[in-house]
Amino acid sequence: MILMVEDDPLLSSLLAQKLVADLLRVVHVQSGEEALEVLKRDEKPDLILLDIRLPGIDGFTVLEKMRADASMTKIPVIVLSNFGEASDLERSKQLGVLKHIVKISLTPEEITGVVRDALGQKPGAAPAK
Amino acid sequence: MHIDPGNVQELGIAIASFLTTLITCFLLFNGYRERVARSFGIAFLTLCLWSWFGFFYYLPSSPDISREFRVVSIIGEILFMIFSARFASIYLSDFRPLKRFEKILTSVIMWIGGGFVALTAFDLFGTRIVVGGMAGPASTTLAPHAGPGLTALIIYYACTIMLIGYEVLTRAFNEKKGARRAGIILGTSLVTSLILAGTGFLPWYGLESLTIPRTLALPLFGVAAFYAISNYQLFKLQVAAAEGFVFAIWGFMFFRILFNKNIADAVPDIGLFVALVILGLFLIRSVEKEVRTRLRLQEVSEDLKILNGTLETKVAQRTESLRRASEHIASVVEYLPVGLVEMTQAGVVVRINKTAEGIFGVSENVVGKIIDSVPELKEALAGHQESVFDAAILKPRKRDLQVMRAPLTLEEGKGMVAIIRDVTEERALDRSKSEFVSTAAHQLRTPLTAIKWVFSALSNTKLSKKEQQLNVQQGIAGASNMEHIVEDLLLTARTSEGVLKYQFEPTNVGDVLSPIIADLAHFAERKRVHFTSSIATDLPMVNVDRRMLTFALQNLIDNAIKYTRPDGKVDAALTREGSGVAFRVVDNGIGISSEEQQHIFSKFFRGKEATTLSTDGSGLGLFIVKSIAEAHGGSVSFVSQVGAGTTFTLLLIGAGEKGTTPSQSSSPKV
Repeated sequence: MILMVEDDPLLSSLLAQKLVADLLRVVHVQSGEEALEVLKRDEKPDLILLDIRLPGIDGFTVLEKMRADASMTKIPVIVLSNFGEASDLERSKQLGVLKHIVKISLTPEEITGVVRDALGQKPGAAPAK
Repeated sequence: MHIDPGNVQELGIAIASFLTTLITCFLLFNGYRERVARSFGIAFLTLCLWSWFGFFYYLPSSPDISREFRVVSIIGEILFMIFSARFASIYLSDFRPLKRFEKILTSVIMWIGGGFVALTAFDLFGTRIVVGGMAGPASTTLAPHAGPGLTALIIYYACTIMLIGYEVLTRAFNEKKGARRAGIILGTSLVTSLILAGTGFLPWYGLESLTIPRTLALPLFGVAAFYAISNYQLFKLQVAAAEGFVFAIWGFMFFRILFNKNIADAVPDIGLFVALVILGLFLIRSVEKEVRTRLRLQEVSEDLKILNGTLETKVAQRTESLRRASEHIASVVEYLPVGLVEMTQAGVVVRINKTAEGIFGVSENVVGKIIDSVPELKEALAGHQESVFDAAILKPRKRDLQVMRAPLTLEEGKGMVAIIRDVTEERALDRSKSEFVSTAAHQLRTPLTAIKWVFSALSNTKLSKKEQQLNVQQGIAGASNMEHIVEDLLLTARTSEGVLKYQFEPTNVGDVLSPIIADLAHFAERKRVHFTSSIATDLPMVNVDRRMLTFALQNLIDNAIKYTRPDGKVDAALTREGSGVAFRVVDNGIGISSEEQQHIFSKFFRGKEATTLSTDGSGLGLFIVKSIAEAHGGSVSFVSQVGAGTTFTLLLIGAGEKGTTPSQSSSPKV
């Protein structure tokens, strides 16, 4: 199960389409607060796709909160943001994300490939759980 | 020959002759260079002739010899008339050019006089034309008989006196005060003394006369002479004293010679007299030279004093204007809109202007103190080797500075001048511009990503037509979004440059609002905000630029929707207000804090709450809306409370209203 944290409806729908077409289960939330709510549940996601620019608390704050919580800290995170400044990359690195992707530079298909690689799965394979 | 000291007449004439000679010497010694004085001197010379031979008349015991002497004396008198007339003419011509009749008269008098001289000269050889015979020896006879020519001579004498009087007094009365007085005295004393001297003719006709009036003639001549001399500044005291001294000695010697019983006894005295004349001349010469030199020095010193005075005045003037110029520059430097600090190499402040004092918060006089007394300045300058660099200070306020430094030669030696520009606003503006551009670029990324992803999705040939259509719609939406952002950017650029041309037309504002309601309603739906709108039916016409007003209305509604949380409410109402129109957008959104309210219309300003809620904003919208409102002669205002909501009101004046008419080409203030 992939947790996608993205507030833009169009982008999230385009990306979700692709992920689902590749047989991944996607849970989509539109804010950092909602993301933390979902993470508190028993079923933890296998991967989190996290946008930085969110209404309310931003992506980095969510990461900080995750790092502070033992049950959340191990979940791999890929930052999906249009913020690609050196300082943003540095911050992501400090917060221990798996990858920092600048949205505009990849297509949904490519992003799906990255997700699969991160999950250690081949594209098109059935979801692990 | 002998003279009898007991004879008052003789003694009188002797003294008179002597003094006349003295005055003549004075006149000629001192005034020979000057025309008027010289002519007066020459006249006095002839007077000497008249006088001395008048005296010699008394010396011989033989009446015939006496008579001869008397004839010469009369010749002297006629010559005196001629040269006095000449003097009077020269005296007048010195003042103004002579009139024709004056020239003629003078010539006539002189020529007639010449004639009389010739006539009288004959009398030396036995004729009795002017001078008649002697009744007895001179000791008993005051004068010879009058010859027939004497009467004519007396008439000539009278005419000459009148001419002299006329010429001298003509000048006198046309002169200014001081010279006039001198001239009048000269004229009257001349005329009076000549008349008095004329009484000497009375004894010739057997009419005895008193000598006393005649003796007065001499002092009057003396006065006349004195004024002639002093008027021409020939009278120098020291020289006159030397001359007087010398003449007195000569006089003494002269009388000594005279009082000798016979010529043989007189020889030693005559020798001594000659020696004394030579010595005397030397003495007068050297005194004259010394006096002349001293006078010259005095003149030069006077000139120098005047020059010095002029110089002093000039220097004072120059100093004054230099001082004013210097003050002007000092005050210009003092109030320059940039800070200026002069320092010596050792770091002692030589000069600091008001602006610099303001920047560094200097409240006391630091001139003469080392730079450590202005720590902020020291810090700002420290660590920089270049001549132009940026610095920042925190105290007394946080400011960005640009410092320009140059070496300067000061009175105290080598030094430095620093120009400090407070560029805080400039930098802040630059920063907001950069931020704006970054933000805009970032904002553009999002719709661009959408378009790119849409195309990527479309490349999947397996999509159904319906799915394809959906993607295409989404792509178009993304492009519209980008268009929106780009429009904003362009509008901002044009607003900043101040090149916004409005085209006003009388319009029903409702017609401007209706077309944009639909899109905004969609947007509101997506944001899950409840949006309502209303347009009154009785709206008056307003002069609007359709495009600009559309932007303004759109922006206000857009903001309301953006900054209201899901499930919130936004209402846009267009109503009549007086003779104009009011557009009100009410929301129950996040509101604006009181500190931020004052900046709300500033360029690039975004409130903290707003930034948190939607990173979409450019910070320009309200700035542009305000410009538009003002260009339309209207206004925009708001009331707001954090957490409760905001109401924005845009007022526009009616088309028929007088007062502020919207400007055709407006440059909104940046």
